[in-house]
Amino acid sequence: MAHRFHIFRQHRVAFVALIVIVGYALIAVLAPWLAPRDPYSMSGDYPLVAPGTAGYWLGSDPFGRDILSRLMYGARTSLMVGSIAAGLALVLGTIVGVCAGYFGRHIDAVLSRFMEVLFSFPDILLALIIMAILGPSTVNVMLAIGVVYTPIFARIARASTLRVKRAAYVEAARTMGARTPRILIRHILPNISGPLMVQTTLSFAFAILAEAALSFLGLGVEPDAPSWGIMLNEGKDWMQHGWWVAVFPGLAITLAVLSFNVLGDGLRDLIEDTG
Amino acid sequence: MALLTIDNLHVRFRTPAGLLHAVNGVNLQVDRGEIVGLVGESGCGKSVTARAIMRLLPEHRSAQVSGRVVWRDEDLLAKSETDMVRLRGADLAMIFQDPLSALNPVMRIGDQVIEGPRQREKLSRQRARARAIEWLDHVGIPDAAARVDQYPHTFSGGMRQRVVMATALSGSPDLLIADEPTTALDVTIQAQLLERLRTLQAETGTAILFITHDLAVVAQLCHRVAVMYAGRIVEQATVAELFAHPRHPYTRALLNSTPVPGQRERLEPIPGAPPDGLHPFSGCPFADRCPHAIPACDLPPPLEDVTSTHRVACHRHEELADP
Amino acid sequence: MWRYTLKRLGMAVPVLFGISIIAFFSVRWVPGDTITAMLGAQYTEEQAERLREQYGLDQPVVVQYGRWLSQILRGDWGTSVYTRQPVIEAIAERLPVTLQLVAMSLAMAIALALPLGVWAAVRRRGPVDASVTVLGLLGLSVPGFWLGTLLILGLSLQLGWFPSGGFIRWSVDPWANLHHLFLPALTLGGAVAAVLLRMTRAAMLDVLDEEYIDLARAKGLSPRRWIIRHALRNALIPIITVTGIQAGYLLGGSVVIEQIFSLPGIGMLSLQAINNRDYLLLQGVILFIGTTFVVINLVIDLIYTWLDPRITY
Repeated sequence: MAHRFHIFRQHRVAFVALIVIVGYALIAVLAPWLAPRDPYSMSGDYPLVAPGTAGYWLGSDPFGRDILSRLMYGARTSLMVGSIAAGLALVLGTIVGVCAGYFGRHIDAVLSRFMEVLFSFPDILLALIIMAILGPSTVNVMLAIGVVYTPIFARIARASTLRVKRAAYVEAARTMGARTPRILIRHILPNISGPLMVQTTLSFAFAILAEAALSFLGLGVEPDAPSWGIMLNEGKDWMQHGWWVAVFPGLAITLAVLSFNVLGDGLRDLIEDTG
Repeated sequence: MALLTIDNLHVRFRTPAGLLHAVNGVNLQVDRGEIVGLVGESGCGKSVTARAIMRLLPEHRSAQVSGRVVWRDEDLLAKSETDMVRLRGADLAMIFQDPLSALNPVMRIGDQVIEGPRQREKLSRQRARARAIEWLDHVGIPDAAARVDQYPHTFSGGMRQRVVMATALSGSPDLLIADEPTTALDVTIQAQLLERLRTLQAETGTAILFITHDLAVVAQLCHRVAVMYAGRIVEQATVAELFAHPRHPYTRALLNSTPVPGQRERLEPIPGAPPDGLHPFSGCPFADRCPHAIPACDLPPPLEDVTSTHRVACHRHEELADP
Repeated sequence: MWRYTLKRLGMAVPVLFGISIIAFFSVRWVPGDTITAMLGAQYTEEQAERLREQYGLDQPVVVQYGRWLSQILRGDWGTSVYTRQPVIEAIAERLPVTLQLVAMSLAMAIALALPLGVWAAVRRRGPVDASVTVLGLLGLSVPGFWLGTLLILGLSLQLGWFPSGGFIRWSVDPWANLHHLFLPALTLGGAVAAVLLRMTRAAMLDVLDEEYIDLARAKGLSPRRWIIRHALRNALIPIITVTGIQAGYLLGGSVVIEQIFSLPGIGMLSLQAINNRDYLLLQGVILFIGTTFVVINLVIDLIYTWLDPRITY
């Protein structure tokens, strides 16, 4: 009984998180209209202007670029990388995991070993290596992060498939002569979607963090792209002269990641609660 | 002489759906050395009553407990957790329904059996082990000396419940609360376990509050019995009296729905469902399902003496008494 | 037990093989060429050819892989073409820094997360639990490189309590060594603490619902005893698994943290190798980290069987 009360409270928090995420998405989409200034325009006259100065609400960076505008465009980069990387990991991981779980035997052995190998590298290091191969660019960051998080999805999809495979309705469909693709799409996929959805939300958070970390290390998006990670990288040497260059991008990342984590937790509780 | 006296015990739980009234004014007494059965359907509040006595309810979270639970001369509900720690195991012990989850899976059973006394008495390792073996032997674990160092997963359900019994009895408590300890076991194992419990009870003189939904078990084991419905005691009597002359319509219905060995009577299920506890009511809780309900049942029936050992809470108990 | 250990070792072999393939071939795909990077802007094609021959880079890739692997197995991890330092030596030189960083982070994380997680679970839905939930989510969401940057800004640049970077060996000055590593370990440990905190709380909540906890309390055990010997002892099984995985991730996280705090560890070595296109060194580092990860997992699995008597192989 008390458990349900907790879930209810969780839902309210998750709902707030969802609103924050929608807010980020709106800012990302509408950045060209919302941003007060050109995020790329360097104004030599106004470097490191403090927050609150007319025209620079959150101050300017060492090159005189408006931080608020760059943050807004940075939301585009983060959400785009987050959604495509998480989507890629979801699709790749689900295919691998469902195949491994459903067909079993040799297919399972090979795929699972392969995933285990990928899983044997710390996530950031693997992403770094892939970025070193591909070179810094937004598309490559999406690819790299997508590949890095594929094994987690594969593992979840495999475990769920194994569970669902033995369920009576799947056995029934098989006895009735349903073809394998139909069983996979109509019976397996819908029934393993819950945990995958939770993981997608959480991976969104990881992907945003990973993009920022890679960009921070100079192996992420293009160096002139507005990315929160690059802003932090550029800001860290100047923060003694203007704390705002290091503080605001970090806050933007933290709030975005926090929202996805809270939403993921809420989704998980919801799914566990409904079985 | 009264060992335990429960006086107007109420337990409520805060839930998102509102306040859940689980126990609504239970009065019950357990004397030294006697076995009292507490019978009722699942959800009637009997397990909550047991946990309230042991102070094992989540009181700092959702449970509100009021009334008095008098142990000898002291009210347990007024005691601090530290005082309760001193009383549990040594004075009052409790065993639970599910033998499969009642033992710590990563601890040797001997350690679990003697853990309570070891905390209180400063036993040496060898002494403790010897006593654990002794108790395992008492409850009927074959080859106890060899099994004392094994882990619970190597035991069957019935054997685990015996280990649980040893765990509770090793502290030599004056009262053992047994919360449906045999429900999860099959009938032969259940009978063996009850037999063993009765023998041990006779040897040690421990009083037992035996909670069950099964009147057949009560008949086999108990001296006295209290029937609980919707968080209240509706009837209580000696076992002989209750089975011979049940007064409360609910008790009769319960007896009619219990199979009696050797008889081929038709079993009659009780129509309807008990109140959910979320909607407090003032009258007789059984009125909705009672074939004998009259308008007066909207008022709460007092628990009246039928004989000196038989009490019932029903407005019409005298009319409905067997001729 | 021994049979399981052997079986588990056998299972690790194909994974290690896969790691070596990834380590070798991924590096081959890195654009740019060590030799040209080494020679700088001014070089002749002949010089480059000679160097390629010297390092065996003129052979087919598969041959190069075979040769590299057999050398690795014999303990010869090659020589960095950039610094001329043997790869093994470079790793051995940097390893203590990273190991100490990871160990300190893990110790801090465990010291913080275990008691807090247990406390939150025992006082479920109370104020402590609420704070722990918020703390866990925050820790999970704050980027380590930002936290590190802020710590440097606040605690070292503004207040001057800690050095902002660099490393001093324990053997040189133990106090300075700890002083230099405190902030990096705190930063790195923060995220891990969050994960462990959430895991501890969740695992404890699961265990606290079990009937053996009620039985332990009904026996009259003191809160300390039933919380530690019954609840935590059982919750420890999933917690240890997560700790092991986190230990592996700390190796990855150290890449970023070592960069921020200028610590000469494995993480910084791998970044240097990537930036210098230092094939053999990068291969060596990747192989080393991957292998470490596999070994950690192996050890965790074996601890598991020891912690849980129900598992028999």
